[in-house]
Amino acid sequence: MIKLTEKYQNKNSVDFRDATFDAVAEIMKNDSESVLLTNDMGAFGLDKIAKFAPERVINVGITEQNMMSLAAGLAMTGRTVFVYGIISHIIFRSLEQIKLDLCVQNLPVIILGVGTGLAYGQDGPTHHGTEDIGALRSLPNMTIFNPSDAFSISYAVKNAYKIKSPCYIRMDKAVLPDLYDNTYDLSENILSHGESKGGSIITSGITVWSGLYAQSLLSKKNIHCNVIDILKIKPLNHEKLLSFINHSEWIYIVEESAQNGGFSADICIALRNKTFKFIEIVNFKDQYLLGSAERQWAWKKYKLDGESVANEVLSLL
Amino acid sequence: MEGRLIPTKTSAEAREIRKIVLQTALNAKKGHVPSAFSWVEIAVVLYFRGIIKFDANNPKLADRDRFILSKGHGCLTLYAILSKLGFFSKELLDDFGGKGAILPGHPDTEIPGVETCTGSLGHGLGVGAGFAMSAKLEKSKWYTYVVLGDAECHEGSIWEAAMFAGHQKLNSLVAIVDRNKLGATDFTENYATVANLGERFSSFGWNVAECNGHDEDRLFELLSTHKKDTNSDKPFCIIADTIKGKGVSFMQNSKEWHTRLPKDNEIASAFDSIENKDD
Repeated sequence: MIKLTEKYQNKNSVDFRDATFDAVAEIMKNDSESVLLTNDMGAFGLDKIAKFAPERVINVGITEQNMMSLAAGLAMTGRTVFVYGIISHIIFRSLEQIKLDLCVQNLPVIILGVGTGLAYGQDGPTHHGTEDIGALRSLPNMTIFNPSDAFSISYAVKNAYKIKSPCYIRMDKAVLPDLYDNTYDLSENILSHGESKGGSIITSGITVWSGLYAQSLLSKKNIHCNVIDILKIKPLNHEKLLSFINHSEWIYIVEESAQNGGFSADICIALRNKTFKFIEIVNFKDQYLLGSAERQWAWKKYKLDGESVANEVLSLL
Repeated sequence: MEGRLIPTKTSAEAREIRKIVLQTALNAKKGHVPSAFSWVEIAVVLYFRGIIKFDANNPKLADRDRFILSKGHGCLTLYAILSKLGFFSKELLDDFGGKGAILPGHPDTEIPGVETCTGSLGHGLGVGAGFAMSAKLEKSKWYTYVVLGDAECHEGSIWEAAMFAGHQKLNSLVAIVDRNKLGATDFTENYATVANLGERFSSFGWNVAECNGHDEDRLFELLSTHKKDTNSDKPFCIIADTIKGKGVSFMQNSKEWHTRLPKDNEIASAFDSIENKDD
């Protein structure tokens, strides 16, 4: 279980996938041209959409390359296309189709990838989503969202629909309380929890919860920092990020990905003209995780959990 | 079916297209000429005999038929055809492969009349199936034509798309396989057989016909009959038996010419061969 700070411990939890498909359903109800493709992946929310639009929810079978090419063909005739499947399968098997059929042609296809990082950690390296950001951030025209709660994933779906170019929404299969609600302005696609009086923990997606837990532990030791949640990894909002680290003396980046498979390099580019006591990055290093990499076990081992983040920051200070 | 090529008379249009293709490649010092030559008659029938519905002045006409050259390296024939039809000017053709030119060695969507980027093999049938699926959803009557290379049919993605199109009964989708029997380096049967392609497509739920891919009359008959056949709910595939390098005697059916261009005396011989050959 992901450790929650006191603030969130008694809040109702929401399934990220339900929030995603509720948002997709709303769009598909209003846009009778939109289509959803899946490579034989099921979901409760998907079934609900299939009930009101059976002809527009198409199970293409386990044919990921074809699924992306089909999405391109459908999109070229004026349709918005959602593509749903497990990250490790739909991104890498069909990477060339994503590049040539979707990105080169800048088409309104929204990839809904489930299984971020080690969401399927116990299923072995065939199911890990730890390099996908690295692969897709290299593609011009691609927008990447990495939401940290059900509210922001719903926002990302609606936002992606408006963009009308290739989008990738990373969908965890976690069930967690909402971090955000209508009182938050998500339009900058980057949010700060707390103020950067001392330092900043910069993270994205599910590891935002590690950052928040570390922040609460550090505050008890009178070490103050903000936790910056990058909702949209690409394009990165440099200006807003810089405003959030304006008073930070140190930066600690947490990413649930392989060394070159995440977003930390983009953060470093954004911060290149700044000077800090330290910039440290924690991830799974340049390797594959063989065996059953249960998420909380692996976070502890590679120091992505809240306690480890807090301890590492303390040791660096 | 292979080896059943019956000599046919080459049309004036086909001869002209081949001359344009060769001259364009010679000007640019690049191009896959034999791969372009093998599907010239297919292109002529599609575009000059009224099979494909298009408007050169409005390439994005909503109910146009869609055409995809999935074997994108054979694009010189497509460029010659589109130029002749007025999709773009001949000057663009003269600058094929030039610095910052509109026409690259494989087609992209900046070119009027080109629906999708091709050149990496195995993409066209899937995108075409997407077009046809869209037509099915909106109950439209336009067609999608995809020309595939036979060596391209080594790609697994072709069969993913073929399976989908058969299952979804995409009867507005037409695939024409340019069965010239040569890949980039060798005859397909010497390294990975694609024999019995017709049976393969048939087993995936397609109607299949096989014919001499240089016989314009037969190609026209098959394609126009399919358009009139409103009863069939299956996609349609033609296995077009062709000759790589067709039209230039010394380039025909040879594994030496995939990217090679004629030089010196070969140039005049090549044009002469195109002009005079009637087989």
